[in-house]
Amino acid sequence: MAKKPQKAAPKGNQKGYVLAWVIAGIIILFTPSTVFLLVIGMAPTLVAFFIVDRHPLKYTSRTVGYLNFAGCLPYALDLWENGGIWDFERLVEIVSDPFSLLVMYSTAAVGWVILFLTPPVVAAYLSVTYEMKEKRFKARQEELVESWGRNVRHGASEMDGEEELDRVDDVGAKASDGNAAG
Amino acid sequence: MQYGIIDYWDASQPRTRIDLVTLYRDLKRAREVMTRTASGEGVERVIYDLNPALACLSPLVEEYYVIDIDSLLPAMDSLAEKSDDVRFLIDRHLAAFIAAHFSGLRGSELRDLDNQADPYLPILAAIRLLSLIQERATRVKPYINLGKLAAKMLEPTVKRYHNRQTRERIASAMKEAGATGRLSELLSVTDNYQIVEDDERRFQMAVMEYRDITNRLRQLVSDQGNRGAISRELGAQVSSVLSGVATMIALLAIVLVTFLTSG
Repeated sequence: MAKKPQKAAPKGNQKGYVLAWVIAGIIILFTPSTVFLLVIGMAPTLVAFFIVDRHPLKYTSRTVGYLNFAGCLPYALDLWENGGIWDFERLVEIVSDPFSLLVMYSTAAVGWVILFLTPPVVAAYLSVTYEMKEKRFKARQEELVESWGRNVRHGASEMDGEEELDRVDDVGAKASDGNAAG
Repeated sequence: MQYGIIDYWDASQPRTRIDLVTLYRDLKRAREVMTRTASGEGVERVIYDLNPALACLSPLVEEYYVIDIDSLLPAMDSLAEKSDDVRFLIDRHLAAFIAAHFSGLRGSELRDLDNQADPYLPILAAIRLLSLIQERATRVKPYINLGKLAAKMLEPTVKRYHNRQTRERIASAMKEAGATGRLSELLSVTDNYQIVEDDERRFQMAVMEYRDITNRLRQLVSDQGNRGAISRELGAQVSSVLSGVATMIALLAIVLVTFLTSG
C-alpha cells in the first residue's frame, strides 16, 4: 500500500515553536523557582491541556488556565519579593502550605465551574434567539405574501428549482467531462 | 370578386374603357384586402372602402347611424350610457370602419387588437385607438360615459401589477381618470410602462428576499438539530472569554494591592 504523504508543518508554525522553546529555556534559566511554582500551581491547567482538552483552539485549557494563573500570581509576586530567583526555600514554604495550594487550585476550579455552567446558558439563549428569528422571518414572509400575493412564494420555489436543475446540469457536465478525459 | 369574374369580364371586353380603369384598380386591390384576416382588413374593410358613404354596420353602433369618424365617439358614449354589459369596444366592423375613415392610424393599434399572447393588450389597443380618434378630433370633447366604461373594462389590467398597494392605487386612479372622459388620461394611468417595469423589478426583489428568508429558515432548522454541538462550541468560547475578563480584573486587583501594600 502506498503511504499517505505526510503534511509538512507550515514554516511560520515551526518558527513559532522554536521561539517558544528558546523563550521557555531563558525563563527557566533566569526564574527557575517561579517556573516550579507555576508547574505545581497550574497542574490543573496542564492536565486540562494535555489530557482533557481535544479542541484545536484549546478553549477548556484557556478557561481554566487564565483563572489558574490569576490564583498563582500572588504567590509568584511573594516569591519575587521575599525570595530570589534561586531561593527554593520560600518556594517549598509556599508549596507545602495547604492554604496556598487551595487558593491556586480553587481558582482553577472556578474555571471548570464556568466551563460547565456556560453551555446550558448559551443553549437557552440560542433557543430564545432561534425562536425570535424564526418568528421574525415568518412574519416578514407573510408580509411579502400580503404585499405581493402568493406568486412571490411560487417565484421563490421556482427559482430554487432552477438552481437545483443548474446544479444537476453542472454535476452532469463534470461527469461527462470526466468520462471524456478517461 | 373572389373568383375573378371582374377580371374575366374586363378581359372579355372588345376594347379598354378608360372610365372604368380606376374601378378595376380598386376592385383588384379590394380582392387582395379580402384575403387578409387581421382586424381592419377583410371583407368588412372592402365594404367601407368601396362604399365611403355607408354607415358603420357594427352591431355596437349600427342604431346610431355613424357615417363618419367624428360621429363615432358620441355614438359610443351613448352606447356606454345605455348599456352596462359591453364586453368589447371594437369589433371587426368597427375596426374596418375606423381603418377606412381614420387617417391617423399608426398600424400597431389594429395589430394589437388581434393579439392573443397578452390578454390585456386587445382592450388596451381598442382604448388607445379610440383615444387617438378623440385627440385628433377638430374639437376635443370629453366622453364621460365612454371613459367610465373604458375604466371598468380596464379594471382587470391591474392584475398585471404584482403589488397590492400599486393595484389599489392604479385602480383608484383609473376610476378618476375614466370620470374625466379623456381616454388619453386613462391610458396614461393604465398603460404606464415605467410603473409596470418598476413593479416587476420590485417583485423580483421580493421573490429573492422571500427565497433568502426561506434559506435562512432552513439553516435555522438545521442549526436547531445541531443545537447541542453549537451550544457546546459557543459555550466553550464564551467561557474562555469570561474567564479571560475575570482574570484581567483579578490581575489588576492583585497588582494594585501588591503595589499599595508594598509602598
